[in-house]
Amino acid sequence: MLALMLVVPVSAAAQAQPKRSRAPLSALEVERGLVLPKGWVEIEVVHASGKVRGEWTSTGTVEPVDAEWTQHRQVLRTRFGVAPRLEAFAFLPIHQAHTDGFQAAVGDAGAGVRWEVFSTDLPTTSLAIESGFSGASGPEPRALPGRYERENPLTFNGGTPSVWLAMALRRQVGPLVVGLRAGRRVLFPGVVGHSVGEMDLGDQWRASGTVLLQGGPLVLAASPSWVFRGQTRFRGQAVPDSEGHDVRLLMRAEVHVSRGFEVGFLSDLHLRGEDAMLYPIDDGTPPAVHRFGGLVRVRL
Amino acid sequence: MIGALIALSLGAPVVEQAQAPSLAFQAVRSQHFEVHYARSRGEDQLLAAERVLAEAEAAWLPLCAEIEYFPVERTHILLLPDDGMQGWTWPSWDWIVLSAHPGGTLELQRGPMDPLRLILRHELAHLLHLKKSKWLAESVQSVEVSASVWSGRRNTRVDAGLEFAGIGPYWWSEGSAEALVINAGLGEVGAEREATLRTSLTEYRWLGEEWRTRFEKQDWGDSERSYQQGRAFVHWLEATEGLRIAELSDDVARTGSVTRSLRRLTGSTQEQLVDGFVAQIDVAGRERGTAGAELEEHVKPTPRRSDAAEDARERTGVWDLWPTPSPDGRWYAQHDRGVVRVERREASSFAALGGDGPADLDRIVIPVHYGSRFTFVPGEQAVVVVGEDALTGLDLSVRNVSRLVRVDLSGDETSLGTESWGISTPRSLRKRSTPVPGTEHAWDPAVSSDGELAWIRVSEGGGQLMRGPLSGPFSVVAGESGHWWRTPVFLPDGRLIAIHRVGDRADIVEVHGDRALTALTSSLSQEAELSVTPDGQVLFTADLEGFRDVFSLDPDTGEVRQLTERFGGAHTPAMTADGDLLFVETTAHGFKAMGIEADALLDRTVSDPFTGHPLSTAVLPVPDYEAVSGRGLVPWSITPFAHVGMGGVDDLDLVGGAVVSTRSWHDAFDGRLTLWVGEELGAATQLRQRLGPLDLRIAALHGISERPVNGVKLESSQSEASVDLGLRRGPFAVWTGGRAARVGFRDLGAVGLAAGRVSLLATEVSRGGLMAEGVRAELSAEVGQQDGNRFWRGWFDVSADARLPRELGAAWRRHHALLVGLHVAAADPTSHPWLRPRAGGMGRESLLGSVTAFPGYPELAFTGDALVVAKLGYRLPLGRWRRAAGAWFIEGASLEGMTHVGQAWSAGSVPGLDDGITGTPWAGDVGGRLIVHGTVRDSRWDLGIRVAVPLTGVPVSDIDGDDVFDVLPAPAALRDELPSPRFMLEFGRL
Repeated sequence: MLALMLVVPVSAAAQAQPKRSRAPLSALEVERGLVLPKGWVEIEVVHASGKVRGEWTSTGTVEPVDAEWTQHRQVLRTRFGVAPRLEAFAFLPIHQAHTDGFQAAVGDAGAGVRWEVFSTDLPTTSLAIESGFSGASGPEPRALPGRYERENPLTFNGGTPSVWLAMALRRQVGPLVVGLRAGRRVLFPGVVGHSVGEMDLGDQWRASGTVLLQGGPLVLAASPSWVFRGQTRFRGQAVPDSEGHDVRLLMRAEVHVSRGFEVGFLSDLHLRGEDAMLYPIDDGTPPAVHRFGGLVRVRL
Repeated sequence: MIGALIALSLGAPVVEQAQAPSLAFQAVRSQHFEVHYARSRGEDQLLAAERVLAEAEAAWLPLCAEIEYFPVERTHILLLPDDGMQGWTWPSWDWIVLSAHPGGTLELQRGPMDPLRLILRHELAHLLHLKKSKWLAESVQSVEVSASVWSGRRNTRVDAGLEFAGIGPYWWSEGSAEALVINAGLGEVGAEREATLRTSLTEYRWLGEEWRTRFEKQDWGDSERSYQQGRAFVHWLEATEGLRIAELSDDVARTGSVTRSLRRLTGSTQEQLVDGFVAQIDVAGRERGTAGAELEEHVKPTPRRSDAAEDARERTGVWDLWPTPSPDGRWYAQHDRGVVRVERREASSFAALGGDGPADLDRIVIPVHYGSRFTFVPGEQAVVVVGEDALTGLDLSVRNVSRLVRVDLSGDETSLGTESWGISTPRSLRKRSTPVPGTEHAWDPAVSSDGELAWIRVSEGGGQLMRGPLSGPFSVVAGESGHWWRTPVFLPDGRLIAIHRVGDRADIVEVHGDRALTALTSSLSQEAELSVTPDGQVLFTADLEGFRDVFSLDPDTGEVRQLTERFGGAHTPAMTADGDLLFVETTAHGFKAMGIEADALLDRTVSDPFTGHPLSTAVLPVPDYEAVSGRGLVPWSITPFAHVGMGGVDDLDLVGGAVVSTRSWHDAFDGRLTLWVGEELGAATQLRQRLGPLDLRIAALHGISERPVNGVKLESSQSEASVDLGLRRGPFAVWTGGRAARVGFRDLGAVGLAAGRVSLLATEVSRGGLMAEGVRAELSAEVGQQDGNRFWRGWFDVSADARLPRELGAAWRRHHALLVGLHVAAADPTSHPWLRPRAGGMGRESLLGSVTAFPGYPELAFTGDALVVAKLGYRLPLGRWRRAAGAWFIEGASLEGMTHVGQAWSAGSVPGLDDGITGTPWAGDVGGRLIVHGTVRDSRWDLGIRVAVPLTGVPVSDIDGDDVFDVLPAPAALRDELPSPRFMLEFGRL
């Protein structure tokens, strides 16, 4: 199967199909840059679910919870090529959880822009800077640690706004794409609904890599990611042992049916988590859960 | 709820209703175009649509090849049944709007060719050029970024906003369109463009966007000078730099900046290139004989000593047309920017021509169609003009339906009429006016000595020559689709001659009773603008050698003599009984009426250049097409926005989103969807549908947010839907509708409202020397239910800005102005406080009703069962100056002083709030606003700082002052807050 994919001539430039003054977008994933070309709109829906294994401790181990707890998350993500080398994007996560009851909430929604500062064609190289913000749009029910019951609402979103700045590089090597990304996310202190008093979950350093392989319409990708989060501050006071590392491995298998329609499966393996010395917050310090799901992507 | 406010602020329709409400449209579709025409206006509109298809398909390939851009999408053309010239495009919608009408001064400035062809080619060039060079994605109209900082504790807030859109210099948009048409072989520079350019260059200055915006040069003729200089600059760039528009457009689409691309491709800045262009100007044609000292005086530049001198020079523009003596010599009349001024004269005197004349002369000023011709009625004290329906007192909502009107000049009054562009015509003038029946869509009237009337009916993508008794009825004597007829005149013996025009050819023909034509001229010199001299000679103008001059034709012998040789060319000739010639000449500041006495005329024999080319009757073939409904929607437009807000305690708002909008091709429907994410999350939609004379508007909004207020995070949610039905009639509208809301804070719960509203909106109303603009009056009554409790409320609003003296257009910024307003409101005393009349802050729209501005107080702070707020202000111009910085320049400043006084009445405490609000019997503020007027490229901006100081305290129920959901009783420490100044930084485009 791998041999079959390697003989597919993916390095040839795909024919551009301009329409309504849109910039050309390659039919091949490996030839695309980090920024959506001018005039294109991309809408992606991702669903992932997993059974919660437990809460992370400050030492990076999992402490099992005494509950049947399944976590679901959908993310609606849109991208829009506003101008040459400039993309705007927005995302809206929605969470559900099954314990002995069912709870749902909107997560931290956000938007931002991505600017391609350097690029080459064939093989494609793309270097981009990204900046954005997110904030808690929905209710933030107050949680009691260790109890996952109908009467005790779970917390899904972070509660305070954040902004981030990141840089990303993507380089094509034949049928392969190698990508790197690193950035800093700043969370602002503020009043949150799931606690009493001003809260700051701590600023983050983030880094991730991607290896993507395309053979015809089939795309396989693996993306390890790492996050270091600083100390939680509650009412201005640092909470000891609340900083930590979060490590994940995201893998995708996609079928690119056409330039405008792609479907895929994904697994999101949570290899190490962190303990903010609070309670799991799915958009901040999530519980230990491997998630599996699928995605649909449409381009217009 | 910032997102909701953004949604509301963007809620105005994309395009105001441009059509008479009862028009029904249909479309025809060819390979590259779809033409929408008003089926209900008659079958001739289909013929006009066919002509548009023919012209558009013929122009498509040459223009696409010239700009090197071949759009795959079809271009939609809305053909307006409008008796006025219309022509504009919205490239991202693939949309051109035009009317099949000769236009006021179009042919005097672009040459006498088929006006439909001329306008269409220009707009199609725009569309292709701007689509190709657009840096933002085609669907993005603009990007808006705003920020605000506020302090809940001190009730202080600062807002600023910026709108980014693809704006290019004027030469780039207009000059390029002109040059593309000419380069594609679809037009030529011609005598008219040359005259405009030649005269404008006599001052050796660049008439770019800075000149237009700084001096508010909005007139058609002002624009034309910029067009032609821009076109000449584009051709100069091609000749000297080898830079083609197609190449430059490619680069602009990548860089987003015309100036940057110019620098990248030429190595010079735009300023350096413009300087080079101006330096090489060599005005040709100065040697033309009769110019002499008079011409030099006419076009010489005024030395620039100050801004005042510059202003004075710019105000010298005159737009005289059709200087005409009456056959008996008792009257003199000329057209001037939409009016015909008729003056009594016992003897002809050319010294005063073009001026206003002595004030004690008898004068009648008649509002007419812009640029239209008129005619005296021989043997009577009367004139026939092309009137608009405003003159005849007919339907004001149907714009620009022209018809002939006979105006009686007899009587003893010394002065009648007004030169103002008001919404009505004085009754004394209406009494003298008699519409000529059956003359709808009329142009170019002429009356014979025996009382016959000939005129042009604009129809069928051309014009029909009509003839009949002065009181009608009329019959078609010539006319078929694609043929234009202009300026008919009667010879003394009753023969009828006119200009016959097909495509780019125009000749003089005699029209016989059996529709047979006899060509009196058949040339390539584009004859135009006929009149008859007292001795039966035919005067006309022609472009014989690159200049438009006046000629005389003997209709019996065919002898032609050249009468003028003018530097600026000559138009609209007429001759007095003494043989003196009247005409208008293109000057550096418009068309000016001139006179040449009989013995000073050139009177040179022309050796037969006006014959020899067979009369042209071939029109472009209509391409294959299919009839379609034309009910589709324009491509979606997107306006991304982002807002950052900071203030209060622990409060940071980050909201981003986009407005997505569309509309139907001919404006029967428009809709928009606003989405926002971030600290707040929501969606709002607004739909408008035209149903004959009715407007149906439907809106819905849903949003959720969590925002801290006074250290506590509050959840809020809102769901709202409204339906309104309106009937518009001119500036008046009657609305009725209902509104339902579910608001998730405190105990407001579900609210339902039924509303009726009568409103008056008039942009300008003038009486005498006073001009009032922004006149708005609205009376509203509502009944509703809130969680089972019935209530009522109502309000009346009236406001206006009045200025003296009367000025038109954007010139208001130079003048003193009185600002007045009154708001009276009352509501059921048992209703929830948020449903009662409220005032405070800048008067932003509340989700559940109007909120009156009361700048000295926090948002929504002033309330009661009934309240009255009166506003009185004065705007004082501080001065005008110019401080430029790149594409920005500051134009001047003005200061507004203002005061608000309010009285509120409350019957008792408010149920549902522990502390209650008892209202305040009296409140007032004094303040002012300093406004700095500026321009970014060709867009005007005002930057204002407003300060308002309350004169008394009011109970503070709304600490943050930002949000209708922040309804918490104030902490005790703030309850007795001292009055504090409020500052507002405003930044907005006029």
